[in-house]
Amino acid sequence: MGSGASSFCGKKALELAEHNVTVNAYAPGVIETPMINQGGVNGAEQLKVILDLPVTISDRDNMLTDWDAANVKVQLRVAAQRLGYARDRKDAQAQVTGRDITTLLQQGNVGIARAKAQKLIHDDVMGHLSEMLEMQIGVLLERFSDLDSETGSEFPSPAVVEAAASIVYAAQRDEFKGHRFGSAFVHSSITNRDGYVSPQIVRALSMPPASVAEMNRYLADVAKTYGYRWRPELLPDDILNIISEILDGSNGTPVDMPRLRKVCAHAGFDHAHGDPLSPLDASLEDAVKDLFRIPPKLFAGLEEEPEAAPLCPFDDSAPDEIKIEFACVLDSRLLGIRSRGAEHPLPDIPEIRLEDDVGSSMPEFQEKNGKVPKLQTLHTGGAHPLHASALTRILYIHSRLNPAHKSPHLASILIPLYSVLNQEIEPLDLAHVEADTFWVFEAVVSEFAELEDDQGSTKWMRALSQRLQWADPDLFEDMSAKGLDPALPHYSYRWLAPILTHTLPVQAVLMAWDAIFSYPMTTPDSCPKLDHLVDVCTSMLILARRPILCLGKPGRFPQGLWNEDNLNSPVSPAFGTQLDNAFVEGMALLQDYSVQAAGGIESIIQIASELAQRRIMQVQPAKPTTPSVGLGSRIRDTLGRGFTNTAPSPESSDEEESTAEEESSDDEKTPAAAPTQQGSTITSRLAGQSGEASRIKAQWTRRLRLCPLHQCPLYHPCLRCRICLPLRLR
Amino acid sequence: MSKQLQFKLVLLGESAVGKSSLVLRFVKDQFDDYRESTIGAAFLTQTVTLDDGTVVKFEIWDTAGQERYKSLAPMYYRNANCAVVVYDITQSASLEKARNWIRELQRQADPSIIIALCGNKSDLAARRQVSQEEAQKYAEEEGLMWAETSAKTGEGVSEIFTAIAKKLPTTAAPSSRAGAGGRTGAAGGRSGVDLNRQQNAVSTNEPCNC
Repeated sequence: MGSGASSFCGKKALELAEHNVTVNAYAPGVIETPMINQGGVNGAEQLKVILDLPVTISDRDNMLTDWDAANVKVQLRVAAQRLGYARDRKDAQAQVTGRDITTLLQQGNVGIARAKAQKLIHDDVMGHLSEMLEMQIGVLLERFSDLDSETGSEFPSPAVVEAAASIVYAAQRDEFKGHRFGSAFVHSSITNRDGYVSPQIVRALSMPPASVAEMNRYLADVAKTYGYRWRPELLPDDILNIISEILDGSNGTPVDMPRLRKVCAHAGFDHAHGDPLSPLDASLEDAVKDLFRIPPKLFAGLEEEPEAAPLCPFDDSAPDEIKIEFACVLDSRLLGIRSRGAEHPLPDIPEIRLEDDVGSSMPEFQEKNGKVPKLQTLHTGGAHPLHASALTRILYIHSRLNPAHKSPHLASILIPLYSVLNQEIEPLDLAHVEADTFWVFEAVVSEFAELEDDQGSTKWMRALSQRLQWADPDLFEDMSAKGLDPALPHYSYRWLAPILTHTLPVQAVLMAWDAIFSYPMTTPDSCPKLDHLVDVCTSMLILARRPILCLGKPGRFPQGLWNEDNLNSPVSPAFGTQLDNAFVEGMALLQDYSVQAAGGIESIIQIASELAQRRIMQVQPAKPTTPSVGLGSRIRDTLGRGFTNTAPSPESSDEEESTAEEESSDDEKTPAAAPTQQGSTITSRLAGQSGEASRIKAQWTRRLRLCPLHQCPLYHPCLRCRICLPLRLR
Repeated sequence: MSKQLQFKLVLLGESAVGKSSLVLRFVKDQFDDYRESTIGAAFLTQTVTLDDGTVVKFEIWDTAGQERYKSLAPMYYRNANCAVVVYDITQSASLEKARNWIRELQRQADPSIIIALCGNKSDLAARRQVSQEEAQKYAEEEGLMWAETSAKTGEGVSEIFTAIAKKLPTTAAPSSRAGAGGRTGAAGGRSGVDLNRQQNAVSTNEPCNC
């Protein structure tokens, strides 16, 4: 003894005596094999050469072979040299591969390009690794005396240990395994059990495969080097969308396997952005995210804690047999999700489960925190946490039942329904207010579903534009010239899509809804409720006629457009043309619609109902001139009219209707006569045919020689004033 | 007399990155923690006075970020002179969305459009997921303006709008849309369907230096 290296390994030998047994168990006979493999060094592969090094470095202690210092030295030098050669060759090859990849990308052969790039990335890593190994070999050669048991010091320097361990570690990572288990040191190094191996080498060898995004970036970089701008054809988000579309079983079509395979060939998703939410969490987050971003005014009346309703299974005071213990689990979960990444994350995130047996997980949570966390730390726009919790449940259940129906306006529609039911429901039914709200909400959402898709919303914005043109052609022309045509979504989209909730004050919304909901149910070819919503919006524009016509004319309304001084800052006449200013002012006016200045919601509803009646009245005499209406529908129409004049149509007695009536606080303000369903069918058809309506209207006006606004036999003196006043002013 | 110029600016970016807050800070110098989500798009105006006395008036279209409204966006960026694409520095996914918007703008918008990439919520730097280097490097590669802002503290907000104002062509005639006939018929210009009018949205006197 006395030699550093052998004592170093000798110490290990003691404790690793049993490891030799283990090694033998894994690879019987290996130890007995002569370890020095002269032939190994002439291997072609870059890392193959160093296979022999660990063997030679370590085996001398075990006295399995002779320690031939000169031979080991030669082997080390050769290995370093070969590593260098191999790297140069790879570098040259990489250039060719890079050019290949660019060509493949240009040809659109992304699959093969990706495979080649994968190899290129691997080669890059290996190249880097071989550089590090070369360095380590250099260290060994420099301090070769340390290895020599004759001349070495008591302990080999840490650098030498690291170098030797690293080489051994890297070698076993290479594809060539076997005939090298000579010593405990090798074993220790292979598993890096004692941490001698250089951390850089460990990192290089345990590099995970490139993610899709990294791969795309890499491909783009490679292509850029060779002068080609490449972009991935499908981004991870697109892939996700396509896959979920293919896998959506709700439409009953079988899964398109070839297409799925093709899309999946674009590979998986990038997980670089932290931990993605689990699908259930994501759907919860998604379902309620709009709840906390709606106008706070909609929460009016929900600030107070709801009365205790022991019959409600969600209530704390409910008897045990009906109580739903995990009613607040969504809140806790949501709070947990929101606190992700925050400085003080919640200690515990409860799970969402839809099964019944989840109750057992709640008590634990309650004990830990004293009480179930509510949503009070989140912005709820002022609603009491218990209300927020009920709203969260409704939205979440809706989203689970209608996974495809993701509208940002759901919360805006839900909250007025919920608060009305809370305030006006019979005290006995208060326990069921959440359930009732849910069903009313489902009914309303399905009635107005058409506003939620692109085509539908465009169609109804156009309907609003045509309705305005029909009701007040002068105003329409003026607005079109100013760029304020309601067919453009600038303000009309915000009016229509959330059913006026973002435009009118809550009380006004409720009254407008009363009027709108009193119209019949949607049928495949007509939406009387939506039609009346358009009437209401038209009426809002007509009532804003005066300020609209004055837009862009500075000085006429020094106090502001709505005759209030809280609106837009005055527009400097130095800017733009009059039309420019008119547009800017008009947007301010219509984005901030003032019901009060327009004459109150009652006027809006009255004019809307007058418009609705005129629509129906106009259809009657025009019918013979409308080729699209067949005899059958005319008969049906006449009969239908006869029935509705005597008794309500069967459709108006459905659940949805009766609920709308329940909510109605001012029944006398709902329109006097709801139009028949058939009547509005024809109207909406007419509205859809541009030109047709105005032709009929012109004919009708000529026949009666009446002002278009007074042609309706049912007109009311006060309505006449309201509509004609601005006309006369002009 | 000092020059007065008028430009259309569009804000794009993922939902809840703070587009509306940014505009509110710029236009009214206000901030509210509770911000209702925008529906469709909102329209506001604000003027910036440059050092040389030029007054630049921005007509700002603040678009809604949610996926649902994506189809409305082209109408607003198509005739825009400049675009501010906003991401949230605490959400790396929002930068990815911003990249998508920038790609779309480069493909579909007026070629001379000036694009600024804006990392909002810089007051939340402790939870940062997007490094300044990464965003800046990307912006340089694509030739975009770049800045980090905080609508909450107001940091960098007026600076980025002023920087955009400086970068916009200043040789256009005063009190007019940059470029002759920028809006002869307001309706046509706003509908975004009149393809012929796209070409003259920006004066050709000074090429954009993107």
